Amino acid sequence: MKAIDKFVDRLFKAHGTQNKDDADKLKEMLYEKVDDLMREESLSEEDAIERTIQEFGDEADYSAASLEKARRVHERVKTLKHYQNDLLFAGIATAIIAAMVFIANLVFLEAWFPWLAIIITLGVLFWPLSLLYKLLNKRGDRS
Amino acid sequence: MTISSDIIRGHLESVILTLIKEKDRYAYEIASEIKTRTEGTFTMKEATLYAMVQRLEKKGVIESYIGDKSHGKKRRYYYMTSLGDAYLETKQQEWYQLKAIMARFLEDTNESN
Repeated sequence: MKAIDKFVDRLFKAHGTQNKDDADKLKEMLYEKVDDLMREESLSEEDAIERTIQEFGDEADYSAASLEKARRVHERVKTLKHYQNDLLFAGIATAIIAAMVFIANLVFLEAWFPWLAIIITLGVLFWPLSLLYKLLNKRGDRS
Repeated sequence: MTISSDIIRGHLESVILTLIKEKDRYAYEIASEIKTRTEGTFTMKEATLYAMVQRLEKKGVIESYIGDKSHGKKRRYYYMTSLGDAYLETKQQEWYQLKAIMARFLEDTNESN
């Protein structure tokens, strides 16, 4: 597979912006194809390597796809992740607050029905609900 | 008729993610599956596909593991993350909207002719 290694190393040298991990993963992908071609189409290793390199495309295709929209996708994914974390935090915090208020209501006010706790919990519930609303809005946002 | 890659470019990620969502796949398997399903009318450049797969993995939309392939060497299989599911969902909504818009223009044109 030296030919594949050389091909990828040359590609990355021309590309100039990628790291070794990317190069190793790309080599792995090409080895997999060579192995598939040898097993499924009964090609010799030499022919399989030649076809793999031929069908790969060129440096420009790889560079364009690596960089194209990368920043936009990254930003969007980061925002969605951020909103999901916010929602998780708000959900857990609301549950803790609700539990504390219910206990306080039953222990200190000695009321048979925890009206105060229910009212406070409903108020606090708007926190995760507003975050859920924001998350759903962001998911639906196509821009 | 073959489809120009320029037309489908904005939706290549959705194609890749949909195939990975169906089942865990390795990179060349994705390329072969696209070729098979489109009956050769669309062939994605492998340089583009491999770069996109790497990019999606970096963004946390997919993740990978090394798995066995029967009668073959080990393969790096990709699978969807929960973030990937959310991302694909937005891309699908985008597609339905685009499809509806294009249908309004192109299908109306056909009817008027």
